[in-house]
Parts: sequence; C-alpha cells; structure tokens
Amino acid sequence: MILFNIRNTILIYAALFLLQFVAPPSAPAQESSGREYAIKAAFIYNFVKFVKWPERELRPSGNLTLCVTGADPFGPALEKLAEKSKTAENKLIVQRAVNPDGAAQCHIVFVGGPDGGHLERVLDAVRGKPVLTVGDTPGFAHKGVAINFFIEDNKVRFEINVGATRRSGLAVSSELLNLARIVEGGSGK
Amino acid sequence: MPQINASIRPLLLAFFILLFWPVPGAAEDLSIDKLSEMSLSELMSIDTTTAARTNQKAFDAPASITVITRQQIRERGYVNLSDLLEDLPGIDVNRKSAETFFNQVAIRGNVGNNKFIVMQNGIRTGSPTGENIPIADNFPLFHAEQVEVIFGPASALYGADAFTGVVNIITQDAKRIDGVEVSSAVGTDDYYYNYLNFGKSLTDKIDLAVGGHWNSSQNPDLSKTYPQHFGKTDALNTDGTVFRRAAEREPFTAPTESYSAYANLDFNKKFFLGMTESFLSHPSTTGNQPRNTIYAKDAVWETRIDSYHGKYKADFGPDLSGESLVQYSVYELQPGSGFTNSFANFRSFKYAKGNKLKLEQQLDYRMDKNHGLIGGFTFENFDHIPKTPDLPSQFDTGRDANDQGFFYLGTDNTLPLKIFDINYQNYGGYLQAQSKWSDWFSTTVGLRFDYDTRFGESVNPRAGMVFKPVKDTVVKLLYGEAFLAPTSRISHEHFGSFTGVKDAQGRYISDFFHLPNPNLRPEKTRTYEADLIHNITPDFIVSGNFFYTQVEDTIANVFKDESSTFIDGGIIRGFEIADNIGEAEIYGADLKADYQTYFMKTNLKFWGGYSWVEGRIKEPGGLTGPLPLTARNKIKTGVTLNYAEKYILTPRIVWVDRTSNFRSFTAEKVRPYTLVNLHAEAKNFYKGFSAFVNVRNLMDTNYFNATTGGQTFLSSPQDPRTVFFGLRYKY
Repeated sequence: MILFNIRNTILIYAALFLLQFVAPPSAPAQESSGREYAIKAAFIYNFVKFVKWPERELRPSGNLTLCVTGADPFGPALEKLAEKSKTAENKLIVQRAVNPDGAAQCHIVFVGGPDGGHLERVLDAVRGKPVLTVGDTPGFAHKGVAINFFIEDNKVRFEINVGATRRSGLAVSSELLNLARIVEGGSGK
Repeated sequence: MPQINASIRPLLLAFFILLFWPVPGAAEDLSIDKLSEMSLSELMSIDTTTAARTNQKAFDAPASITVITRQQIRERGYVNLSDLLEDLPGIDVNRKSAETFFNQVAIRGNVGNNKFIVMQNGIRTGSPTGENIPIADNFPLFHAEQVEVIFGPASALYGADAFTGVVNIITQDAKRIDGVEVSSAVGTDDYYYNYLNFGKSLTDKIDLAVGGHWNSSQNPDLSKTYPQHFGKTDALNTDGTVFRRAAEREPFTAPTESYSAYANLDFNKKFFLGMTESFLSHPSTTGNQPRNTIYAKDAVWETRIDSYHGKYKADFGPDLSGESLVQYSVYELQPGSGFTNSFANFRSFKYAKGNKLKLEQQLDYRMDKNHGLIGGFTFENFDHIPKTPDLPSQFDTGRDANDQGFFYLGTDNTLPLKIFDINYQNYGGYLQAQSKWSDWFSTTVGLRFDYDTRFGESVNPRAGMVFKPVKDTVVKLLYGEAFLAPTSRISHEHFGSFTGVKDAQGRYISDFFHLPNPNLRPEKTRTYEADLIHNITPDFIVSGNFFYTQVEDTIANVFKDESSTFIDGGIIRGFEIADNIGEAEIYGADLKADYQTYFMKTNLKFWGGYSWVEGRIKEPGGLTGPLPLTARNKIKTGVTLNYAEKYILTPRIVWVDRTSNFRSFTAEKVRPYTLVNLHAEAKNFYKGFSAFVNVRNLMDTNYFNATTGGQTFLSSPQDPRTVFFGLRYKY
C-alpha cells in the first residue's frame, strides 16, 4: 500500500482543526457592485439628453433634480456625475432618501429596492406630473415605472413603459426608444 | 522538469509572454468620468462585472472552481458540455474515443465520464447508477446561466462518484429569460440544431422556465478525409475468415442525434418542481477499424436519462434553514442499441436500465455571521439491470429481465442467458463547518459517511483553508477524498460464448468468458492541492495551482487461468474478472490568465491556460504505464472581440501534446495536435434576431484523439472542418 498513511492524515486533520481557533473572528469585508451602478448612473446621465421636460418645469434655474427613494445603491457615482454636470446645459442636483410622497418635486426619481408598497407611493405622488421614474427591479416597468434597468448577458439594458412616459407628459426621443425594450402596463388613473 | 516537446516551446513561450506582458492602462477600473462620456450604445456594450467579479466564486470558494458565464458560453459558441470542457485547462476531451461512451473526458489525468458528477441546478442529471455515459450533445448549454466546474475529489459533500470533479450547469432563471428564445442552425454534413427556451413569471409568486433542443447530423465522411484508415478492406470474423469482401463494403456512415428537455417551476422561491430529459444516439462503430466493423446506420448506441425532482426550502428561524429533496431518475440504454463488429458476429444488441429514488434533507445552521454548519442525510434506492451480454435480438422491455428467452451462443439454445436485476441502497450523512476567522483567513472542514448495501462503508473528509494575504490575492490549501462506487455494470457484466462442444460430463465448453465480480470495492482517491489567484487589476487575473493525487483500488480486468461453472450446464476454462488491483499517482499544475479591456467601442477578452500533468498507473502484474487518454502538456487559449455588443468574433485554440491510449504497451501514441475553432455573431441585427456562424477545426487539420483500443483505432481520426450557421430570435 504505497498511498494512504493514516498517521499523516490524522495529523493533517488535527492541524486544520486547530488552525480554526488560531485567528480571532472579525467582520467580513463588504462586497460591492459599484461597477454595475456606475454604469447605470451613466445611463441616467445620458437619459437626460433624450428626454424633454416641459419648459416650465426647468425654469428658472435649468437644474434637474435627481432623487433616490429607498435604498441607494449608487455610492459616490451620482455625486461625481452632479459635479461633472456643472458645466452641462442642465445641472444635476442629487437628493437622497427622498420621501416617496414628495417625489413630485423631482425631475427624475430612482426607485430603489424591490419594495412594492414604496413603489405605489412614488407612482401615486408623480401621477400626471412630468417626473421620469427609473428603477432596476424586475416587473417595475409593467407596474408603471417609465424606465427600468435589467441585466442581459452581463450588460445593462433598459425597458421603457411608453404609456407611463406619455401620461407624465415627457417627450422621449425615438433614439432612446430604439435602444429600449418597450413594455406596457401600469395605471393611467 | 518534464521533457517538453520541441514543437510546443514557441507556443509556451508566446503564452508566458502574453501572461506577463505589462498592460498599460489596465491598472484602473472604468471611472465614472469615462462612463459619463460614453454614448448609450457604448454603455450597452460594457460588462457589468469585471473579470475579477465574474470569478468571485472561484476567488472565495474553498475549492478549485472555474466558472463559465452565459456570456462566455455565447461569445465562444459553446453548444454542449464537451465543447466547454475542451477549453478548460486540466481537462482532456478525447472525441470519437469509445464505442459506448463516445467522447471520453479526463480531469487532471484521471479518465472516466463516470468519475465526475454532472448536475443541473445542483441535481444530478448523469446516470443514476454510475454508468459511463457519453458527454456530448446530450448535455446542451442553450439554457445555461453559468457552468461551474469543481476540480478534485468532492465526495465529502456530494457522495459517491465525485471522484475527479463536479460539473454544475445552472440554468437561467425564468425572470431572466422573460420571454421566448428560439434558435435554428444548419451546417455541413446535414447538421441541424434547434432549441427553444421559455421563461416567464406566471403570477407574482410562480415562475416557469421550460426548454428543449433537437439536433441531428450525418457528420463528416471520414473515409474521404482519412482514406488510409477507412479504405475499403475485408471485414473479418474473429477467426480471420472474411465476413464481407472489400468490393462489397458499405459506405462509411456515422450519424448522431440528440434531444433534451427541461422544466423548472418555482413557487415563491420555496417549492420547486423540475425535470430533465436527455437523449443521445451515436454510432457504436465510433473509432472502429473497418476490418472489424460494418458501418451501418442502425449501429447505434442510444442513451436516455430522465430525472424528476421536487425541492422544498424551509426557514426555521433567522439562523436555521432546511432543504428537502426528492428525486427520481432513470437511465436507459435503448433496446435498439448494439454492435455491428466482429466480437458481436456483426450484429448484436445490448440493453441496460437503472433507476434511483433519492431522498435528501439538508440543514444549514448559521452560528453567527462568520460561522456556519451544513449537514444532511440521504437515502438512495437503486434498481439496476446492468448492461446485458450480447443479445441476438432486441431486449423486450415489456417482459421481465429473466424471461427474455435468450441463450448463450454455442449451447444449441439450451443454456439461458443470465440477465441480472440488482437492487441496492445507499445511506449517507454529512457535516461541514465553514468559518471565516478574519478578512484574510477562512476554513472549511467536512466529513461524509456513506453505507452502500453492496460494499459497505465509505468515509470521505475534506478540508480547505483560504488565505487572502493582500486584498487581491488568495491562496488556497485544499485536501479532499472521494470514492467511486463500482457500478453494477462493472461488477455484474459478463460476456463470452461457448464452443458448441461438450465435455465428458455433458457440459458445454467455453474457452473464455468475462465474468462478474460482485465483491468489487470502491476506487478511492485523495488530493492535496495549493491554489493561487491574483487580481493584477479587476480585469486582469492570473491563477495557478499544483495538485498531487493518489488513487487506489482502481478496477481493471485480470485473467484467471482456472475453470468456472458460473453458468449452469457449462464449463468455462479460462476467464477474466474485474478486480481492485491497480493504483495511480498523479501530479500536475495549471496556469491561467484572464484579461479584458475596452478600446474603440470594442471589448477584448483574452483567456489562456497551460496544464501540465504527470503520473503513472500501476497495472496488473506490477507493470506501470503512463496516464491513459491524458496529454502531459496542454494549452487552451482564445480571444473574444466584442464590438459595441453588435459583432462578436472568438477564435479559440487548443494545443494538446502527445497522448497515451489505454494500450500502454503499444508504441503508438496519439500525436500532438492544434485545433482552431471560431465563433462569429451579429447580435440583435434586426428586431431581436441574431445570426451566428461556428467553425470547428478552422484550419482543416487531420488530427487524432486517443481511444480505449480493442476494436478501435488507437488513434481515432477526427472531423475535418465543419461549419454551421444559425439564427436566434428573442422576444
């Protein structure tokens, strides 16, 4: 028997077992999906060029308010975009942890997280108002969110609920629609 | 240092230069500044994950894991599991290598399609009774979200037969499919491949994914590419007389056909129902020499496996959860399967069937956020009709195994053929402790106990330590054991014939039989391994490992120069049986590099791997031989160019060194070869339509793969260039 040596095996097990108690436990490091949300932030930055708000909504400052309700997955990406937008036609103002019921004060609302009740409140608040709703939860576009991100083949894609954009009075360029998956659904009440 | 064939030195040199070439500009990830300047179409071409994140599982897991994502499967044009395995370092895929299991896969120098587990979503979809089945189009990838390949023994978690590794095909979630995808491809030699994949949320809580594929091909006429091998020659009986003259020989034919289906029904992520079905028909003349075989269209080997399962996940509190599984699976070698070779008197049939009922309960206990325990127990009941001896006509599935009316050849239809129907059980229990002791150190220790009613107990431990000495580097020290249960096919197989002459006691005389050995024990293996993975940047990863494997109690045939009365009314004067007589020592190393970058709307991804494996197997009589069906050196490399997520081009190169076949005593070795494959695709070129072309053996090289020997060539001639074009539509 050239192969198996019980004594060595027991020694290896004992060593491994003891090693478990050598180092004190500590908190695990956080993982980050920062890259995905940096790409999504850049998409939102781009959407501004392809969506037209009624003129009165942008006066007097020409600023666009980007709100995040619910969990904010973007990290520092939105601030960096806001900084970059200072020289752009429409300066981006970022507001976090916005109360869903106050979403009508925003030009763009990113609805974070899969919370259905929270979504209802946002949609109720912005109904009929020129607010671009954006999400990244499966099924949100069908529920009435204007633009919803999804991942396909490891790439960011987006779907547009044309009815939702129409009802909000926003003009969406055909160039944007051509790149999107078109969905229907949501309430027009 | 092993001897390296002179012809591969330039390739090796090129590989290492590529591996360590400085990569300017790759040191930082994509910044928000860069992203914000990109157009929408440019943004749509960027991967959401870095190469490092794609490999996160490989980085963190206490095992040697390679993960191939759906995107990689698509970009590289992998159609089935053998295509994917062929591109992985450490794996030898020898195609057209055996009559009954077609392609043979060796993982880290240990050959055997039955020595690794194939699973779909964690449920075994290979043979339930451990049969050696083909790895080919019966394992498609059209539905795969990713494929995880674990290298090394893993019986401590998975039980029997996780001997050289585990392959888990994880299918796309219904929500991810969200619609229907259909595809149709047509190619040279009447190649057709069609699939449909559907996924949808039926309600807020119920998701359904279903799909299937169908494929057929006449395959290349090898007699045109290799006239020296397949030229018209007399087909000879085993006694040397002519069965069919050269002038009357039939044309070469080698058709294949496959289909598969799957369904996953998910009730609120709590209760799951699923099924898989796979079928492959391949020529049982695979690799056969023309003097031994008739290339008939009905010389087929038809493997079908069905599996049905139900799974329930329960939470018993914030720290304790459970998973209950019931699975029933059936393997059947279809009754039309058989041989048209000289050993079978140019027409015989075979049959086999095995089914398994499995119950498993797993509990997952989270002691705190850094320590967890996983434990469980399983019960499996098996019924198995092992592969029959050669039958003169097809097995009648409507009748009992021992009521088929078959007799041994040369007994004037008086000695009835023994066909076994075996029932056995396996009971297993396992426990695994996972602990994260700090940001830089975690451990896994596990043990599994199995009791098989045929051969008794097996105990298999595993242990792993994962160190992260610096942020982007991981070092793993791994140890694992496994056992390969002797399938009833091996323990109960018997074949041979009688001479037609009786001895003085009126018993029919046979000069030779292969006889059963129900006392076979499991083969056992253990592996020591060290892995290193380093993320030079998030998009440039290098990794390497070194492993040392011991195998003992390997099963091989031994000749017994003595008499046997195994068959009532007969006397067998010499026989062979399978026995646990061999052992092996295998060691080797793999080096890998993955790199991706973006330039001019193009995403470039490079991958490359070099494998070295060395070892000896000890054969009957104390002889030692090289590792069969394993090349000492292999290079697998390729590059994907993805232009704006519209056009994809992936050339892949596989270089395989000289390979030994099973007949280690012969001087003939399979010569080295380089294989270039190509995949090109125009993605979503019109309203959800994509078009693609796949070219295998682009350079139209004549090359060979290693075989089992016997009736087959020792070097089996491989396909010339084959091409197929296809369309895919997603809506």
